[in-house]
Amino acid sequence: MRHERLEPVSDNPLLSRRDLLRTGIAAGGALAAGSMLAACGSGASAVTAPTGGTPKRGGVVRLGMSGGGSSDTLDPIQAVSNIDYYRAAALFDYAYYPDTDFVIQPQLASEAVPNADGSVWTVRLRSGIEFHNGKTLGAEDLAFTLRHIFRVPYSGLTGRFAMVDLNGLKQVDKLTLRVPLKYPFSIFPNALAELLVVPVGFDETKPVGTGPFMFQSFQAGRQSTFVRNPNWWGGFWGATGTPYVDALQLIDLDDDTARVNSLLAGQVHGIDAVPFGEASSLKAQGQVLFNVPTGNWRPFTMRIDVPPFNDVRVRQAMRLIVNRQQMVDQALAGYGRIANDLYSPEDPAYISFDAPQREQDLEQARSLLRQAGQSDLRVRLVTSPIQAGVVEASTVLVTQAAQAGVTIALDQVDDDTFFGNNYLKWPFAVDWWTPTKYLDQAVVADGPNSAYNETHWSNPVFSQNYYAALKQTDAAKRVPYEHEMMKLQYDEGGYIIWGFVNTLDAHSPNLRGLIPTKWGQDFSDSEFWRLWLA
Amino acid sequence: MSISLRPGGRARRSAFGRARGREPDRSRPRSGVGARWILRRIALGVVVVWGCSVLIFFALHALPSDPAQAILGKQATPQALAHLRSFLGLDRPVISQYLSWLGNLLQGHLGRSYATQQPVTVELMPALEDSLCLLAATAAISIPLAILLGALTALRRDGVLDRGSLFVSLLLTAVPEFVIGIVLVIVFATVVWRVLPAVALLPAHADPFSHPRQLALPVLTLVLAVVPYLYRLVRGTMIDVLESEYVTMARLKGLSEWTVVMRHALPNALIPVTQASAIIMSYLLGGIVVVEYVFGYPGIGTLLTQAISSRDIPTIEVVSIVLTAGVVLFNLTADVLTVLLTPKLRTGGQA
Repeated sequence: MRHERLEPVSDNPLLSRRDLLRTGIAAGGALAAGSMLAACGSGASAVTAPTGGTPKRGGVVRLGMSGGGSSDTLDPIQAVSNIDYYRAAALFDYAYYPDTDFVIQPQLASEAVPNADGSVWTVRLRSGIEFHNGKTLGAEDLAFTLRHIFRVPYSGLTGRFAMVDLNGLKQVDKLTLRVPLKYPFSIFPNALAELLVVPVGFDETKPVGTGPFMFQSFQAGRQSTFVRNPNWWGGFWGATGTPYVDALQLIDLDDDTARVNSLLAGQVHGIDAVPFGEASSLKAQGQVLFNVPTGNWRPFTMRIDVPPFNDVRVRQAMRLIVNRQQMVDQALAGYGRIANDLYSPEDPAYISFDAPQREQDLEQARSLLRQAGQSDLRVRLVTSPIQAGVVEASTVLVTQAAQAGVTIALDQVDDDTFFGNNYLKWPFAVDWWTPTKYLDQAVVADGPNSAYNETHWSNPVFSQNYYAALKQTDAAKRVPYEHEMMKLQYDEGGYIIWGFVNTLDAHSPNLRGLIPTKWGQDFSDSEFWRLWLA
Repeated sequence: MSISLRPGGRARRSAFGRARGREPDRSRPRSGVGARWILRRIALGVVVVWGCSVLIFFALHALPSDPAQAILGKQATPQALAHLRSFLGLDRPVISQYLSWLGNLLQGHLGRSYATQQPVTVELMPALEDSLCLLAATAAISIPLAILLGALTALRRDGVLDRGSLFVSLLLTAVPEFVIGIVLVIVFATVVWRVLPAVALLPAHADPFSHPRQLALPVLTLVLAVVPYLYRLVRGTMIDVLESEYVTMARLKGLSEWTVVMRHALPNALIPVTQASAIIMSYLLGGIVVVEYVFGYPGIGTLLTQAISSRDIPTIEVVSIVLTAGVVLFNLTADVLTVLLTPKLRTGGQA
């Protein structure tokens, strides 16, 4: 994830890959903050971590994290890599944030109220929250943060907040900001769930936030230290009295081997992004795996506007060729689950959508190819080690396709080449995405004017429902539109979404407090205040 | 005179592994070592460094993927790329980029990193210090160790120590540094014992010598890579010297074996070793790139690896120049030392 820096600047409601990582839909009513912690235990089945015991105060937690390098930053608005976001989550709080059930909750905001078509939003902040330097959080800070996005050289959020009419920002009172948009955007709180709020006059060299930890030291590409904020307000979780530990050290360990070795050598308490192949040996040596199912997806992409994939029967045949369970077992070493050619499995609209699980059906695939006049289909698949398991899945696909008489020539390129000039133009390729809510994903991946329309998906009925959904501020009333969109994608789409990939972290047995979340991002969605040392 | 950035560097190692200095070297000055000769060598060295910098600059610009692409990665859209290219000055012709880069260099400005937007020196200087600490620690251990082992094995030729050392040294020679490093990690840090850190996690702005545990495995790896050559060189020359007429003469005079070895044999055997040690240092400049990578040690090797992965051309250039200059400098030192220590060369063959 180190290859992210600029964000496409345009008037379209574009999202970046990174944006999606922080996104969800504010569906349903807000749960009471206090009940959140109690609700956490429910989805614990996938977790092998001993989270039990009564939390103890004190100690310094050291974590080895992926993604860093010399371009590391402490400005949350310019964050690029995994570790940039981890540091930001320690220092700052988001305006909104997903709870453990992946419901987007107001965090620093207390509410965001739209007008009828979702084109003007009134955002109210919680009262009495203080930055580390004692300044009280106010509407001027939120306005400053929104403007900051467009002032810094490379913010990954410019596309995400392109719909905000900055000139129209209006401070209604001390805690209330009126945010006019350039077009209706019913899922604006999802964008706010990516916004870490900085104070007016933010200085990157002495970063001041509202978050659970306060800045102590930082060296790009090496490590950073944060100390406990004794006055942290506890977030919407109501976690007052946290963090448990006195200090948090985040260490840049981008190399897989170095990261794993540092855990084995006892130099760090935990690491993120465990290579699947290392998992069993880590476990054998007494480390604890934090293995959480997520909606991470690593699809094959077929361009629906070029031969042979412009024939819908070829796309359908390709989807029937895949033996999904075999692919999960072989490409992900079992750290995943099968998928059904649709994204955002945690979205309420996905859950209520009724589509039979697609299984391998070579007979049907051959017959579709025959009808399409492609009985001895030969295609070239461009693959690249962009994420764990991607190249492996490509290799498995070659074998599976051969069973249906389809010859796939594998063309492996390095990731700079892959994301180079031909990215989004390869006829048949791979990609990776982190999970988000369904409509957010459509906005960026295959909606009209989306920034990363790699399958070149375009369908008038789909677009019609898409625009209707973006104007509908009632989440429940959006679902029928979303189902229409899903139906088209399921029947005719250009994605082969064969599996959802788990998040895999590892830690020493004395690191406690991690709980599985529905969103499933590393270290309980970067909620480092939960950690404690036994 | 190339820098070996990759593991191995076999050819060069075996070249100087043959006890250099025993053969007449035609590159040596015939009429003594004067200031003019040294100046000429320095000038030549500058030309070599400049040549390498030109080569690297144009090679980097000839690569198919450009820095803007590497920085933006998946986020890259045509507008964003164009914006970043003009921000970084990449839209100008390569020749004009080179000239302005060279102009800045001559005025003492090493350029700004594409990745950090800060002067390259901000990252370079601490990394260079850390790498020099690694080099110094390695040299301080390897050279005395090699001399001791070389002298002992020469004196007890074909003894248990001699044959054992030879076997182990051949084994280590056959294995690249990164494999040595990985084996050491498995033995001392992760699987077998957990007594040393697997990754060199130096605190920010720390002096490596105040964290000897973090230095242990990187230094040990380099020592194991270097000592086999150096000790065999000492052993070889020592055996030659011990069989020479003047040592026989010294023994016949009835001098004690200790005096014979310490006063007559060892000083003569050390002449080629002095030269080889300087060359070993230039070899280590390549070795540290690999070893720093294996241990995540924050020196110029790691800086170079990071810079290459983000196509950070100004940083790559400066690190390469530092490494090239180091190789030139150590080779020059080797030559000067050889000349100074060899009476025949020192006096222009009239001794």
